[in-house]
Amino acid sequence: MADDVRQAMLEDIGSRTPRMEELTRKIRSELAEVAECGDGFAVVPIQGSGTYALEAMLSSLLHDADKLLVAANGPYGERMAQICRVHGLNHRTLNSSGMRPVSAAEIEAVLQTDPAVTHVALVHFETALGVLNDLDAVLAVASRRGVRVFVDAMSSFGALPIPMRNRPVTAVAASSNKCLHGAPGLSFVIADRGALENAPPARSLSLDLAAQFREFEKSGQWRFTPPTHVVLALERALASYRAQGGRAGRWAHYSAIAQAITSGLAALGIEALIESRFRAPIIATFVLPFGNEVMPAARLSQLLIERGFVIYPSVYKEQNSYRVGFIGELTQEDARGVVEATRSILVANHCLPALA
Amino acid sequence: MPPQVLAALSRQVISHRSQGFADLMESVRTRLCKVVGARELPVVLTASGTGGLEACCANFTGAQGRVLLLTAGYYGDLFGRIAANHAGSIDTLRAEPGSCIDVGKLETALQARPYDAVLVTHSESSTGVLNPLQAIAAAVRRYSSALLLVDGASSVAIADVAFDAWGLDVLVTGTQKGLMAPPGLSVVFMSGAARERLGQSRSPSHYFDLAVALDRARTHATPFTPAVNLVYGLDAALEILLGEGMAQVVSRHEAAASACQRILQEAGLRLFARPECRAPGITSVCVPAGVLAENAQVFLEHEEGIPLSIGFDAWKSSVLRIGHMGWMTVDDVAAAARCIARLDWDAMKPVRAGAA
Repeated sequence: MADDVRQAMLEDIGSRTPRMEELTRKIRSELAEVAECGDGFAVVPIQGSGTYALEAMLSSLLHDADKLLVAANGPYGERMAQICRVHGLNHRTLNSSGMRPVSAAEIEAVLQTDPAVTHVALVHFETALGVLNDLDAVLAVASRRGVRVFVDAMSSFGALPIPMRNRPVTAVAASSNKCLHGAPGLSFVIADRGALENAPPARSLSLDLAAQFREFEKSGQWRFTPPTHVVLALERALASYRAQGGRAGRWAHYSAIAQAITSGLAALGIEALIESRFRAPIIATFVLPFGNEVMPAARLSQLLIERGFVIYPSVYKEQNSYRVGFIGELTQEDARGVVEATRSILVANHCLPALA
Repeated sequence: MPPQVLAALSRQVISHRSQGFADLMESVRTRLCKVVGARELPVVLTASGTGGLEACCANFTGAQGRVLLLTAGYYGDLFGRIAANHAGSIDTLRAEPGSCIDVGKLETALQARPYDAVLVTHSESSTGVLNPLQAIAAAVRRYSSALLLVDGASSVAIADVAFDAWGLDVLVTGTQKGLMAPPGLSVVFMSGAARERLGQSRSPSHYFDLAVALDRARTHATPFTPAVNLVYGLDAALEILLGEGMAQVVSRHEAAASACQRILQEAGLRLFARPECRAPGITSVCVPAGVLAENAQVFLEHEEGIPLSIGFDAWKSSVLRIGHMGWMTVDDVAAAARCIARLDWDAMKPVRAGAA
């Protein structure tokens, strides 16, 4: 986290003060600008992590008569299906391989055969293996078929465009701590105002997104105590975001980091698992060119963490693999550092001969 | 908030999957146990205190559950509103405004029908009343097999709370009051009986599924991205509190409350809460007849720098609420009380149309 963002948390403000109201109004407005969503949508911050926002979004905006098609190609898609199960929301799941994007054609095929489906839920960037889903294609299908879309944009908001204006989007959920570089502890839903105004009766007090929206509109205040310091950090992070060129600047920075790490690891024989056309410079899975018996990825992860690089093994168990993130306050020096650390660990542990 | 807490809050964020974070969380959970006299480590949720209450109700009131709500004001009613989304049925035992729960009436209610859960707000800060939690717990234990679920938002690290010794089952608190930490986290303590009950029904919330939170907490991890910086702040605050000693912390709050009450009464003002049940963390005082509490609130905040609250509902304009909890000294509170005692109350009366 950037020094100025951490320093912003040194201010101590009351949760019901005019300063907090102004701060809340400002971050709601600035997040709407980042989203380029126009006046038809409202930003509704939530005092919790991203899953809180997702659960609030789905449980607050889906009516009993609605039916959601969850297009899942990884654990984060599955998480939305789990939320539907817990709340008894009418839904069906289209599971597909985590190695490639969800197929818009397969979604369309389901919509053709199941006219009860009113909404589709999609994870924009599935971080488990690092696959970018084709949101444009899914939105085009949704337009053709007259259904609306919920987007889990936790790992993409602020770095990738999320078309919302004049598109069949009901809501997008994201959080403060990924591509926006704020502190964790705050998430938000950017929802269609009509959907918020016509939300079904609340299924829970805390998860009631529509009530949260109404209170912001009425009094400018949070219904329940907000994480004031995390909000202050987000205000500062958004200022840096703009100063660093907004979405284009962030994309360019992440791309350069991803390029340096990917090419550096490739020189060691460590290749990305996912085809380049399905990747995004957010996080990627890399496959070691040797098996667990030489050195398991978990051990490499441990040794990298000891050197200050927080790198975890992949959930993909079919190959000896690990994940490297490209977002956050990383520099080219960090990128070179993680490649060099990987090289020196593999040399020291006699894994390099296996690379030949 | 103590400067050490603010400084801790702005430390560099670490991975929530790292050993460093597990060590931090273990420290926090262990210290929290010492605050309330609990043997079993609590879970820490990234949510407001209300979110913690939602978790409590979602997991322990059950769709078929019969709940007895003990309420002495707005926050007790809020606990009931949260439970209403989860419980099968709710009976209410209401205290007179300014009074606490009558344990005799509770005993009668418990003998009249069986309950699965009894809900109580320990410190009802809308009226400045402290409910007799130890006696309530004893009555529940004696006459019922119900779980006793306690909102301790305004009592933990303020009033005496002995989780194990009193036989409480679930205790929920936020972090920004007695715990002197930043807002944005809530803490849920659970007894052995509560933990056993957890496995018996499916949680109606994904984010607030306490069985999952407890499972992850076995390694001091969290199911979802935690607000890492806020956990730093909480750890620092707990170190200060335990350094002072919990008995001294409670004595300091009681001394502050006594000083505040004495000064206001000597100035001829009437306290809203009855003498036998005044809370150590907040004093509610009736403004003189004809005076608008809102006017006094604005004057005190803007002219004297004393932030305070007004009453709820019917007492909105006739009661001022003076919080004295967390990072404060008895002298701070006495000085604020003297300021209130010296107010020119005539100037706080509403201006009549046409008055010169």
